[in-house]
Order: sequence, then structure tokens, then C-alpha cells
Amino acid sequence: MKHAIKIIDLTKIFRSNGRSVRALSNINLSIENGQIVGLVGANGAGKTTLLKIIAGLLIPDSGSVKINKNIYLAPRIGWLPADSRCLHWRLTGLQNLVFFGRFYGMSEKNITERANYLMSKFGLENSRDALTGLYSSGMRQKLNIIRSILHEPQILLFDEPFISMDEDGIELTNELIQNYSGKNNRLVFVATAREKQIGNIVDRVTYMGKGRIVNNV
Amino acid sequence: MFRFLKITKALIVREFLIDKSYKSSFIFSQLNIIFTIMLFFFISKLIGQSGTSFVKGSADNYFSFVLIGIASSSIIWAGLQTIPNYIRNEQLTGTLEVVLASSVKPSSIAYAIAINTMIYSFFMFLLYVILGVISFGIKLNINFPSLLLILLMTAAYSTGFGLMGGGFILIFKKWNPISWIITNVFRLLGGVYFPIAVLPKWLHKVSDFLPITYSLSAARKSMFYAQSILDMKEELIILLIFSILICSGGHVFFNWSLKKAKLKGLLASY
Repeated sequence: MKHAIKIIDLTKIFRSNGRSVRALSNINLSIENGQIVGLVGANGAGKTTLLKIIAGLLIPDSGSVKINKNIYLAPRIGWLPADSRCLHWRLTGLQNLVFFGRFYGMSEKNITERANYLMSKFGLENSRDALTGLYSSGMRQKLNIIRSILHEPQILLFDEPFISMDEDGIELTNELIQNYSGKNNRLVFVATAREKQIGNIVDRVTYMGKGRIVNNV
Repeated sequence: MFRFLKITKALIVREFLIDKSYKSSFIFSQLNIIFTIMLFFFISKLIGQSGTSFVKGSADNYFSFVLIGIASSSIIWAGLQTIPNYIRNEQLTGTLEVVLASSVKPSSIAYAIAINTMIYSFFMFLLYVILGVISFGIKLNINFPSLLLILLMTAAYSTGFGLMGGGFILIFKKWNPISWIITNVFRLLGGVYFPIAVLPKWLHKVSDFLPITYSLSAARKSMFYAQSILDMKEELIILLIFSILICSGGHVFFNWSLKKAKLKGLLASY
């Protein structure tokens, strides 16, 4: 099958106060459509940097990310950062989803239906009208996951999705990732420092260390 | 276009909901208007007739002059500060990356914020004017088409400055020299609180290069003497040139800053 994303010779160096840190060194990856890719590595391995470049939030020093236009006519990305603050804490859970849904260009009806369905699936149906600032950190992470898949993006980029989650939450997230990719042939990246958490849901695992790919399984 | 309207709606509703959740702050910020008007009302009493000779040709008296100066410049301050403030808030709440990963052009987001600001600042403008008329008896003779055009062009160039300020915030986080420079120079030399005629002659030349000078002068002419678009065509052409140049400059600088922030990895930091 033709690749969905092709990463060619990606290098990223961060420079600050006369010091430079090589976050990524000559990364090459070719990923097929419908795959779930685990990015596993210790802190500072370069997982987040790689995901941010794919999301268009960082520009590499050299190399490129090519998204196959034949497969993704309108490549829409779902981005889940490792930072669980990325919600408006003065809005309720539902108001947050409505805000982002409008931002993603969804219809009002579609936003409400998807938001209600996903909040119920994640056990947040009784907290829809509570301020997000009053959520527990695990609940906020669940809401973040819902936010990232609300508009049914073609490419999902999950950076440490299991932060603050209990065992049920981890299981639920893994189930969601599997269904999300499997049924619709979508591409999912899951970056984690703990390989155990992604269990056996991934189609392939890319191990990273010090900005390089150390193994591909 | 449809997507742009959706983003604008999303931002307007979100800002309203967040503002509503800070009820006291929202109410007290509106009360500021009353105190500002009262402050200048009493200053105008102190100045008395001597102030009137200075503002001749711009307004009937000092109080009317300053009220329209403050009301019109509130549109400039809003345009100048909203985009930088929005970006700064998104940096602090951690939502900036999420918003930028949504495949919407960042400049479209900035313009949606600008529209949001315009609506709010036009409301503030109206509030100043209505309070001035009802409570302090200022007399108006308005040409509405010319006033609307002046306010729109004023909002346009101040949004351009806002885009430049937003660019600085993307890179330097808390440092926004554009807002600082424009606010101070415009307040001092733009004819907001006193007529430019009061300034030394050499400073008049500096005022001639400031868009606010033309905004305020034209706003007063259209609101006190009902001057039409044709009556003020020279001032309006100058304002149009300022709007195009500053908006284009702001757009280019904002996109350049965003690229720089993405290269340096600064989007998530605050």
C-alpha cells in the first residue's frame, strides 16, 4: 500500500542562550494508512518534537513530512498535547467542545451529537455542565481526548494520552484508538514513555532515543 | 468564508461566556467609562472658556472635544491590544497549539479576533457617546456614513498594529513594544485629550504622520458638523492609505513571527 505519511531525513535542533540541543537526527519513517504507530522512548527522546512537526507546530531545520494527498484529500489533524491545561477552565466541558467544534468547522447539530456521544462513552455525561476547572486531572485528559477526535480527523497525534488516567481510562482510550483507526482506515500515532500502556493495540512500534530511531518493530 | 464566520462566532461566544463568568470584573470595567467621563467633565469645568478657543473648529467646547477623542481612541486601544492579549492568554492556558493545529490559517484566526474586538469596541464607543449626550448634554450633528467609514478604517489600522503586537508576543511572550509605543505616542501627540495646536510646532509635524490624528479630526467633523465623505475626502484617503499599509505590514510581520516561533519551538512556551 502507498504510504500515508513519509518522513524524510528530519532533523531539529533547538538553540537557546548559545547552547544547542539536537532533538531529532535524520528521522526517516514511512507509515501506511490505517496504522496505529506507537512512539516509545524515555523523556527527551524526541517523540513530542516529531509529533509537533507532523502537526505543523514546529518547522524542522532540515528534512520534510509528506502527507499523501491521494489518501488525505483534506488532511485534518487531531492533536492531543501532553499538556492537560489545553482547555478553557472557565467554560464547562460541553462549552469547550462546542467552541472547538465550531473552530473545526463542524455543524452545530454534529457538534452536539458527537459531544454527547463521546462524553457518555468516557463517563463524563454527568459533568457536561460543570466547569472544566473543577474536573479532576484524569477527567480533563478524557475531555482533551474527546476534543481531539471530535471532528473525526484523518490523522490522530496523541502525545502521552494516558497522563493522570486510571486503569479504566487507559483501557477505554486504547479501545477508542483501536476502533478509531480500524473501522475508518485512519492513522494514529501514540507517543508514550511506558510501552506497557499501549498494550498490543499498535501495529508497529518505533523506539526512539536521543532524537534518533533506535528500532522499528 | 463560512469557516471564517464559524470561527468568529466561536470566539465571540467563548469571550462572552468567559467574561460573564467574571461578573464583577465585567461590571466594573463598564463602570470605568462613567468615571472617565466624569473626570473630564470636571476638568472641562476648570478649563472653562479658555479651552473652547483651543478646540474651535473641532468641537463646541473642551468637554465635547475630549469625549469624542476618548470614545474614538477606545477603538484604537481595543484593536491594538486584543490580538496580543488573546495570544498571551492562549499561551498561558495552553490552548494556542491546539488552536493552531486546527488547520485554520493563523491570520484568519487573528482577523476573527479583530472582528470580535470591533464589535466590542463599537459598543464601547456608543456607550461613551450615549452617556455624553444623555447625562452631560453634549450636542451632536452626525453624518452617519462618514462616521461609520472613519470608525471602520480606524479599526482596520489598529488591527494592523494589533497583528504586529501579536507577532511580538509570539516570540517575546510578555514584551510588546508596539502596544507601548503606539499607546504613548498616540495619547501624547494624537489629539485625544487636547488639540494638537497646544503642542510645540515641531511636534505638529510628528502628529501629521500619525493615523490617529486623521481619525480623531475626521470623527469630530462628522459628529459635530455632519461633514460628509466628500467634505473630508483628503483625510479619508490618508486614513485609507494608513489602513492598507499598516494592515499589510501587520499581516506580513505576524506570519513572519509565527514562522520564527515554529522554527525556535516557542509556541508552547510562555
